[in-house]
Amino acid sequence: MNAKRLLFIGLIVLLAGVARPAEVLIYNGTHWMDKLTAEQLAEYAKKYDNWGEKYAGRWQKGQVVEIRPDGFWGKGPYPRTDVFRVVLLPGVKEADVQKYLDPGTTERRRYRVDTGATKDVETVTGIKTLSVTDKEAVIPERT
Amino acid sequence: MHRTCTIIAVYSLLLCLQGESLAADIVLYVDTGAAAGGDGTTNVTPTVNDGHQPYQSLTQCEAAADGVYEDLVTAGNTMTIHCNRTNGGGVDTERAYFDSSWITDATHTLTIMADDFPADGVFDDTKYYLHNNDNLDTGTLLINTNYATVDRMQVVVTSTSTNSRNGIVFTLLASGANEVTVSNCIIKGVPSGTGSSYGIFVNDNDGILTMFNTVVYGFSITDNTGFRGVSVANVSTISNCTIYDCWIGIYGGTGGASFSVTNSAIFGCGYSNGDIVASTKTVTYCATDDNVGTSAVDLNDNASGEWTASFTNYGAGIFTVKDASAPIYNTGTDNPGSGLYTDDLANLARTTTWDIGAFEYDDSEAPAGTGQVIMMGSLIPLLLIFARLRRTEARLRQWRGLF
Repeated sequence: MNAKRLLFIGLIVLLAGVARPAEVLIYNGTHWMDKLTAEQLAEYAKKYDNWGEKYAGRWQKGQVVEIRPDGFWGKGPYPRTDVFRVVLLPGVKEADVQKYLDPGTTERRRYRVDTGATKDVETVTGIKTLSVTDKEAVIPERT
Repeated sequence: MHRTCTIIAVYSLLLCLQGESLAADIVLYVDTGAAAGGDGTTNVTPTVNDGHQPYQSLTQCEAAADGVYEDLVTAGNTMTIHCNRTNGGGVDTERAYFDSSWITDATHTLTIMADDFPADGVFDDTKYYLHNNDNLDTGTLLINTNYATVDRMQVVVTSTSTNSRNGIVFTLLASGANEVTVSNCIIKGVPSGTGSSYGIFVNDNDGILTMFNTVVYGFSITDNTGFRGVSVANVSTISNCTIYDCWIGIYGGTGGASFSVTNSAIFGCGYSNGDIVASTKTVTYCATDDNVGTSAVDLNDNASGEWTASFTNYGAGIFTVKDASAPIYNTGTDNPGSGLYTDDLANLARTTTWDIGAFEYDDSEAPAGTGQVIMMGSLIPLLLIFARLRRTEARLRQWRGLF
């Protein structure tokens, strides 16, 4: 009896110790600025002195919008799938993926998450399997 | 001739109508209690996704709207985002970021507001509010968009460790077209650590801030000038605000000819002469501990109970005017915004002479010490009516006796 109880308590402790998975909302829409022709882009650049800032600041595919705790969206419904996609990360703590919200020097986000780019929802096991591009990574020179 | 005129008139009308239909106020909704999947076009929160319910957070709304509506100028639109917390929704913990990619001008503006703002103007944690909940050194509501207005929003800022955590931040504003407004808001700090934390931060010398009817409090860590209620650029017009318990109340840097503070109460700020810090400033009709400016009211560090006499319960974040004997009652100046606003944080109409701070005392309430007189005054008509009824009853009895 005691052994069973101990086993039960141990199981509870083990489950409680498992990191709560994060759920990541990623921008997946096509921004209107990305639909502009070269001529239209030139017109906007002529009209606005700070067009470079404005253009860089648009939402781009793969940028993380928000990070939520386990079960927030879970099995759905999900935020507008014509604009967003969701990556579920079982076993990965929210804190471990929060850096993907970091703003870039000019862009909204420094990082782009490529995982699940063609799906509304993708489940990824482990942060190492997440495909992320650091847009401001310094590429080491060849020696 | 008559027929030609009619055709021209009809055609003109059609053109006008077409023009009307082009310009619109795009209204979008946020509700932390909404199911996922909505496009934010209604404020109804069904239990299932019907595709049109509000967005679940302000940042979701911004991201979805940004890609579609962002050029408000070319489209001839304005945009208003209404935030709510119904249907068992929680706090909006997602940092919202309106980047410079939004295209606005003086006519085509962006407004962010909460519909369930507390009616009494006292912070209410059951209503919609933004609360920073990430590890980033930035604002809970970060705005890089000119002509943006934040109205009737509650924002809570928790600062920790050595980080820089702020409430509403304006930055990277374009030169020239750079006006932003904060009105009727409550910004509350929960400070700790050795970092920095500002309630409202205009991190751009191009920024032109107009701020009124706003309460900011709780941004104070002793001997840390990184904790400020409001930290602004040179051109700022602050009126009828209440700022309490911040290490520095308002920081205006070098200030300048266009840095003005009017009708505001700034008190309980620990830094020496820290109520308003700016090299050049115009301060009028303000109530401060430093007794700064002209037509000033001295709150005197509450040495003789000035804070207690002025506010209902400042320690609990209730900054309404205590009563008609309060030092801040009727000691402001009328209409400092030249018609920009005529009521207070609790939607009460301002009456001459305007009070100092975010709240106007309700003059219809009994002034201190005159309650008995008013009571007697209201009883007299009742007594007269009662007497007249008694006389009428007596006459009826007499007539009954005659017939």
